[in-house]
Amino acid sequence: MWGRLTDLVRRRRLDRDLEVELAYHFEELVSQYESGGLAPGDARRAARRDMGGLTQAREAYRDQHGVPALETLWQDVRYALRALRRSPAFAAVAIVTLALGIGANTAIFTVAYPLFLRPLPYHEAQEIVALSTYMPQTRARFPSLPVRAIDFDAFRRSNRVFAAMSAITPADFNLTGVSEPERLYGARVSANLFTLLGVQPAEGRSFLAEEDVQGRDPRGDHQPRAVDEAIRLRSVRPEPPVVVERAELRRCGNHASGIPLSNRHAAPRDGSAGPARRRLEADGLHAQRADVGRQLELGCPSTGRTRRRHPGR
Amino acid sequence: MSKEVLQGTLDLMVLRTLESMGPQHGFGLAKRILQVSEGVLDLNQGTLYPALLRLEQRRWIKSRWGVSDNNRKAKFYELTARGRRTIAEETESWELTVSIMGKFLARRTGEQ
Repeated sequence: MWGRLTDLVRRRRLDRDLEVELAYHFEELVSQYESGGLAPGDARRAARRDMGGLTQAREAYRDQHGVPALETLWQDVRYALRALRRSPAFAAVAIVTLALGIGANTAIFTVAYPLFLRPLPYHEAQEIVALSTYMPQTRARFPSLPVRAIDFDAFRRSNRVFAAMSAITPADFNLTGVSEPERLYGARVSANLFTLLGVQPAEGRSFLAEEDVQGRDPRGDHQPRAVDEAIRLRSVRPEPPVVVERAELRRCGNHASGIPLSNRHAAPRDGSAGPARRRLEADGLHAQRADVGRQLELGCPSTGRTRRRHPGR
Repeated sequence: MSKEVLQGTLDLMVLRTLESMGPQHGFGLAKRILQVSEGVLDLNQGTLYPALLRLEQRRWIKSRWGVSDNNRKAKFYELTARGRRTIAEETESWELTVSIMGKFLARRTGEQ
């Protein structure tokens, strides 16, 4: 291949050389016929007849010394450039059209890829779905509502559809006690979320099941350890334990969780479900979910409410 | 016998001819191959010169311009060290092929 490529560079010389060689070949043939007793004119004719397909010989030779596809391509490129130079207006329009097209495509793809196409970085990501609820009466205005913790518990208890269910809700935290206080955007999640997603904390531990219960503080140090650990997981800071301002946390803690369980690296800011792709998959589970919803209505675990929720469809 | 010369066999023929004759030009090679094959292999220029170029690209032979016996400018081809090694290898593989084919064809003759 290398030999062929270098020949590509010196092909003019090669073509000239071939002509000399063929001429020599011809003369030799002539002298051979002459010494065989032919008259000079007849000898040349005979030699010419023998050398028959000269053009063919040149073609074969050129095929051997070039990289044929590359040469044809180069010819095409040069032809295209000549044609473009002849009609600059057309060239300009074509180039601008191409530029706009490529630019628009790149822009859209840049947005669409992380949102719709890139697989979630979790184990068996295609199995993960996001669930949310709505109320028929308000569906037009609120197509997707968060789920209260008590309802989530009911869902989880009566779950026969999913391998596991986890709750997640976006939450903000104030990080103090470090050199520079910071506002952290994170999520409050149920303890099994990491197991569900099949991820391991890079450092420290993930949540304990006991920590799922509100007000329970298994370590007895009155620190919301789970949050603490979670921050340590995601924090690039080397500082060991961080203290989370308790007032802020209490405020969050009085809310229960929403159900959407999968999201990208951060929690969904609006508490709604994840991308449509996964919601679509969840539609297949419609019947079972309706069942969960019915159970919920009948049992009505959310006591003291006159207005019922209708999770599922 | 078919006049179509298989590429591999032509390569080996050219290399062998160069080995026995020393540096040689294209015309001389064609003439010699015609002689050795007792008039069967009359190489067309469209076969011979591309083959020589191919061998040169593989660094099995090299070429230089010289003057022929009758004082004409001609391109002379000669074997390289690599070409000599190739002859040894190719001869071996060719002999193997021949002996295997021989066995098959002999059996067929025996059956008849």
